[in-house]
Amino acid sequence: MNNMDSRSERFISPSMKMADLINSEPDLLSVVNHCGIILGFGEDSVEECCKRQGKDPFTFLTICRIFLFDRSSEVDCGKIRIDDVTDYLRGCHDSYKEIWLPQLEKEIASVLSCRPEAQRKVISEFFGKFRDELKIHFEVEEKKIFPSLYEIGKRGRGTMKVFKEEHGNIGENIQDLINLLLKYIPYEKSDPEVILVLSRLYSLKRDLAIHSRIEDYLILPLVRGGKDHE
Amino acid sequence: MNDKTKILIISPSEIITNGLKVILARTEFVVDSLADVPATVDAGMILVDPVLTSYNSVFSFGLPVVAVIHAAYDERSLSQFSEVISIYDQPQVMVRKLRKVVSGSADSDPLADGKELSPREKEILVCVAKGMLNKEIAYKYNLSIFTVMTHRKNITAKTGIKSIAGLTAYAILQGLIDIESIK
Repeated sequence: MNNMDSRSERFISPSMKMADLINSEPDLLSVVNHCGIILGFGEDSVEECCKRQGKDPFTFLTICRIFLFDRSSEVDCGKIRIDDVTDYLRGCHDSYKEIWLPQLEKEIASVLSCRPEAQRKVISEFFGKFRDELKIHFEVEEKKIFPSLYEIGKRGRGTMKVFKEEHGNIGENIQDLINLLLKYIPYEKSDPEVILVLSRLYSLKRDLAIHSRIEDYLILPLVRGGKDHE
Repeated sequence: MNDKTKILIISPSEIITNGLKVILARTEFVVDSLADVPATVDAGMILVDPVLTSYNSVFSFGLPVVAVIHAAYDERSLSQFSEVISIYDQPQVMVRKLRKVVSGSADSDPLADGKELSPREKEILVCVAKGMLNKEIAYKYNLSIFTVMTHRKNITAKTGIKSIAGLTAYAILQGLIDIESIK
């Protein structure tokens, strides 16, 4: 992602067709999904598409830019519609909880079904712990952090210590799980199912990293400095 | 790890050399300096000023080499160094960076540089998996806490596993520890 030049960054504009944006950067499907934007764009531009579905185009494109280019310097937090950001984060939580994690759990169990019990148990316990920690993290955000964000925005300032604390070692744990499955299970044959599980884990790791990045760039400045927003 | 690491500073600038000497005088490092790259080196680490046109030859000594920079510098050239310190770094930042280089390269365990965990690393891993603290592990094996931390860093560097839960899972998968013993 880092070798994309500024030309392609400029190329993302509100007036381009939404379908063209996705076709040129298919990874953005994940943003579309987490933002709750419904497919079937037809020939609509990004701006038309967002407005028709009640989303703020500027916020959507800012999330897309952070997703693709990992830059915080050009983010204008003052113009962001905070509700759209929390919708995105909630959308992430929902897809992880309802789709990604249950699917991964099932697939990991299937991949290890013919391995000795100790191996199955170790991995499933590690996964269980990772999943539970993730769910707690989501719950804290949804119950404590998102509701106070609106208030902080209104007052124009505020601090939220809990936010940084809850924002911990998620990426580390998923990389540990990847390494355990990649390096330390003595498989007997090449197994496409394992490859699929690993690919999903890498995707989840990337998506979680971007989820944290969005929080760092769009939520933390609000919590720290507090800018007015509508 | 407890031995004092000898640092050789190679820079034509007396200001830089003497400044570094003052900063490092308060640390565990023993410092020597030269104005140009010598034929042989008796040191554990080299700090070199990349303005020297001959600096490339310092890599032939097989030691960690740290660049001491005082201006903007080509990033790609800097990537070949173990670390980069700037003369504008705070002294504690400089010292922290140098310590990191030492702990990353030196280890009292002769097998630590290999790909597999050394016997001592395996022992420490088992302790970590059992939930022991660094202090307790240090006491058990009569090591300094700093050495235990170095071993733990090496274990993570070799396995790519950082969390305690992950290291425990690894220890079980490798048969170093029984799954029931950690309940």
